Amino acid sequence: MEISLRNIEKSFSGVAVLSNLNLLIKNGEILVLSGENGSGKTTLLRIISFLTLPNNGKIYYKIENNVFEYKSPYKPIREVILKISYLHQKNIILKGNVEYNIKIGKILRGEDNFEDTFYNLIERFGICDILKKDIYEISEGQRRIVCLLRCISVKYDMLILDEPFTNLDSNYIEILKSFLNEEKNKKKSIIMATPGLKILADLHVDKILQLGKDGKIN
Amino acid sequence: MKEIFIISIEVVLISSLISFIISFFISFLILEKRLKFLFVFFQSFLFIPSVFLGLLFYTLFKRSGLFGFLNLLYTSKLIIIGETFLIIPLMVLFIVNGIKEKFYEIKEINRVFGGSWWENLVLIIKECKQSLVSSFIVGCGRVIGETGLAMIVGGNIEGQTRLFSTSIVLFTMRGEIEKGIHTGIFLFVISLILNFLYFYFAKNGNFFKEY
Repeated sequence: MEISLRNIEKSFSGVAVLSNLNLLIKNGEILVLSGENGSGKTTLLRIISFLTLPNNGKIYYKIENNVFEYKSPYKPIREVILKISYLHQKNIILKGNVEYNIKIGKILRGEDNFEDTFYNLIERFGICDILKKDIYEISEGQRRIVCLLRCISVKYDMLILDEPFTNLDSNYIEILKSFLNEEKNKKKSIIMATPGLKILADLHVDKILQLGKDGKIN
Repeated sequence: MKEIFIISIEVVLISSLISFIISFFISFLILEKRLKFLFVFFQSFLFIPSVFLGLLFYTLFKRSGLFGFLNLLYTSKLIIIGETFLIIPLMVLFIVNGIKEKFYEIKEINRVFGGSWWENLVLIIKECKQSLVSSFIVGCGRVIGETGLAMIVGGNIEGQTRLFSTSIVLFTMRGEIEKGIHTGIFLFVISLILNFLYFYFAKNGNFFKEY
């Protein structure tokens, strides 16, 4: 999946967060968005995922040989939604146990088959022992893993991760990085936002984009 | 007393249920379309005295009124309609404030994974069950204790439109203070039960957070 952003603009209450942003994300690329708090990393990820409306500009999504154009009046494109998986900056949890919280992503996608790869993923992140626990009984870091697993257990061509390493210990960070490297080798595109770059060691990053406070790429 | 109990329960349950369904969809609309104005509008209705609403319904449903042909004045049906309208603003206020935080989170999750409108609705009901039940109980409590509207549009007719609250007014006017107090205590016990139910459901929704 490829995404091309053309002249994307977004402002909140008259303050420009993104201005005239142009960007190309190719198949199998890992793109990292970096920048200070309030530089527009999350806004950009949300615009690509149809969660926030841009003020101006166009986005082209290329899936295999089909190109979908996202332009004013900005109606979400279902074909694209089903090819993208998004991890929120904040952990969004639902009442119930850990297993339900992971499965809900696949249920909403209409992917009812919980095949071996789904459980292998859970095993890989080492949370088999807490699967039946109530979501309110686990730690914030474990909830991050739950949200991450919900995001990566569905079928996707592009993974959009907003600060995925927050609250994770070094063990989980290493597991996640090796998983992302494998996904890259499978030609999946990955965009992630992170405030610091030190954490990215060993991750096969293709591009790093530094967003400035003025809403432009530095 | 048995008749009063049956009519009162009928009025409370039917009006609260209808009001709850209407209020839920109004709240959904307010949150979905971010209609702040509509929310403020409903909130303002909370300050309208029930006797005024009763008077309004009386004017509309009296023989020469706009809906006089329906012959609903002095029937329990009109009390139900009146109480339904009376508690809609209260329920909207409680539902909107109770579910707004989860509403947007669920909407985002649903959008991200491509869920349908129906799946979104089911998830919201499931997630906000406690808040919704609490709103329903608050509505029931308001109807049980309401007097002005029920007196005006119901007429306090024995066996037909006499409720707990209106019977207390009658006992007081007749000087049967003891009977009035007994009815009042009975009414209080019912609202105590309702409030314990409210507390029970609220508690299940992490009413007290553990640290």
